[in-house]
Amino acid sequence: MSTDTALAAEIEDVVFQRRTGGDDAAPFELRVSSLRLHAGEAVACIGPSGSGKTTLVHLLAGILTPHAGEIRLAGARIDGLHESARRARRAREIGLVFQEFELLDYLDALDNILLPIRLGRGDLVAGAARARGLAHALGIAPLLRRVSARLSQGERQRVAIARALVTSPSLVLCDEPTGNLDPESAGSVLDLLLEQAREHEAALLMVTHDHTLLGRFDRVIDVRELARPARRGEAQP
Amino acid sequence: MSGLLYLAWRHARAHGARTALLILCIALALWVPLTAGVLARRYNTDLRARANSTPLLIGAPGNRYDLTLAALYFRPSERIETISYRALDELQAENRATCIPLHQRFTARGFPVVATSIEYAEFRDLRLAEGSDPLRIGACTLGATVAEDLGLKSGDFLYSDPTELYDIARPPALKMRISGVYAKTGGPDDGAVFCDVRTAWVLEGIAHGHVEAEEIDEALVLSRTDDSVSVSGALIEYAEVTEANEASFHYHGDTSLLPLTAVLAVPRSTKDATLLKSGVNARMPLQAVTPSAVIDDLLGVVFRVKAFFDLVGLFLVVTTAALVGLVFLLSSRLRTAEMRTLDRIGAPRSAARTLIALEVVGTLVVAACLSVSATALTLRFLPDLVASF
Ligand SMILES: Nc1ncnc2c1ncn2[C@@H]1O[C@H](COP(=O)(O)OP(=O)(O)OP(=O)(O)O)[C@@H](O)[C@H]1O
Ligand SMILES: [Mg+2]
Repeated sequence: MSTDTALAAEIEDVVFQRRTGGDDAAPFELRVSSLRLHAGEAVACIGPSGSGKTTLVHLLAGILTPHAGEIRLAGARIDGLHESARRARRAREIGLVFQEFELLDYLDALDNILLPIRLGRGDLVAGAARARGLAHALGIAPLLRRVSARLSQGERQRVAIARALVTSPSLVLCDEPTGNLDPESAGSVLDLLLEQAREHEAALLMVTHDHTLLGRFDRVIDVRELARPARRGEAQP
Repeated sequence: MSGLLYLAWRHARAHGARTALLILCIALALWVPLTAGVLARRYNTDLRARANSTPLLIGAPGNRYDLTLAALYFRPSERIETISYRALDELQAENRATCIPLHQRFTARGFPVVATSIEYAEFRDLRLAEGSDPLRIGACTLGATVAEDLGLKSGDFLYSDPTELYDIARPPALKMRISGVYAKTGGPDDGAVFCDVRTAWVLEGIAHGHVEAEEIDEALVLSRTDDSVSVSGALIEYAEVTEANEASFHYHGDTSLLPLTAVLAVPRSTKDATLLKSGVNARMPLQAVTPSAVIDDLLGVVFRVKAFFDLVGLFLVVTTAALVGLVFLLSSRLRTAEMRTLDRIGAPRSAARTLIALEVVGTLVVAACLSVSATALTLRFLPDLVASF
């Protein structure tokens, strides 16, 4: 992956702190000196539990704002934006796959996939066509009218992926989406995700604990090493 | 917004039983005070309008509510004392008012028979839809509702209801010829059968015609002496006034003692009204009442009852509101995960609140529509309460 391709997201000298609650514990702090995600690039993010992987994803998504530093999406800063503007950009430019999928169980698969479009001001007809295309590619086309409460875990996961991709985001963030799948399913879901992301020229950042999957990514980063100022920290493998 | 509306609709539909139950509870809680309120208002306007258009009523001393309700709304009044026809003559002699006799002690197929004079139709502005006013003895003119309910038209016959089936001193039912039908007025007049006072006296058994004994079917004669004929009860199943026997109808005794239940007086001026009223109350063994004053008194009671209903209704509404609030509070607790998801996907901050609000408002609107329809249906199918008041 060459560095002259478009930057989907960029983090520069970010400091994020939060009190963990207990009086005894020191406040949690995440420092990222530099992180760049290029369009069409797939990056895996590893690190032990509590090291700040989810925090990183939330910073990139604009769900959390840093105390210092800059976060840019497609070259434009989001850290200084007003909350509602950040939400709007998140809805438009970022696809999120959550660890628990977080489908709305009273909606059917298609309505779940279309959720970001319904909540934003997207074109519902074009969105529905896109949703069907994604469902077909992900192998869940026959399930579109089934209520999500009656889908298997793997099917729910595919619906969640389709929902993340339906707005054609430039950045796809996945927080351990393969966590509770058997290795074989996890592998095939990851392949689908990578394929879709590449096809749409989206940058993909996936948090994972599953080290057997790391070979399929362009790059692997460890959150604990992001604080290191050296650019070598994110050199190509 | 339309997206959230869709989500709210989907959620309500997915929890159909809960939604239906909520709507039903709210609709019920609204229906009670709504119906009570509309009924009270209808009572108020209907009763008052009639009372205000009736300047003065004169009747036997006693319960003024009975007198007023009977004369204005034709409430059946077995209890009401009669006054003599002479009172009408005396009132008329004072020359202060147009005096209209009223006699209402009978019914015909359940509808009140109002025996009066031709001035009544004029006073109430009753227009004929067909036929003529009940001028002849034994003739009657029907209010619009009576004609409609019984499917009768002018030229048909209507039997009066016998008062005491086993009292042979009482006359049998009278076969009345329908001379006409009045146009609909929307008031109590629609539900009455009108006839001349003389017909009422025939119904009372005070006036009667004689059937020529010689004309009687021999099969019905039980025994015959020189001066009397005993006939079978089959003969007196009903009486009928015909052109042939009309002239033979007559009264035994003093005509001025014939009974009336009330006199409706239409004074020529306010002064005449005051003088007539005080004169009657002071000098005659009668009472003169102003219906609007009587109805005002009565509505005071009605509205005290309504205040109680309002309180019950308020209690019901508050209780239901609290329960509905609780349901939505619990529901929003259950939906925190969903709300967090919407938040993370990038829905506006207000989305979660809007979603719940839309469902609350939707539920309320549907419930309100339901209760309004239920109220309309209730009022449509409830029998006319003013008439049976
Ligand atoms: N809502 C919160 N409030 C306070 N502290 C939090 C909150 N969420 C996470 N933390 C703390 O922040 C630190 C980083 O959490 P984070 O969720 O980013 O870890 P993680 O790397 O995603 O862990 P895991 O692999 O278990 O998901 C942890 O020490 C955690 O206890
Ligand atoms: Mg995490």
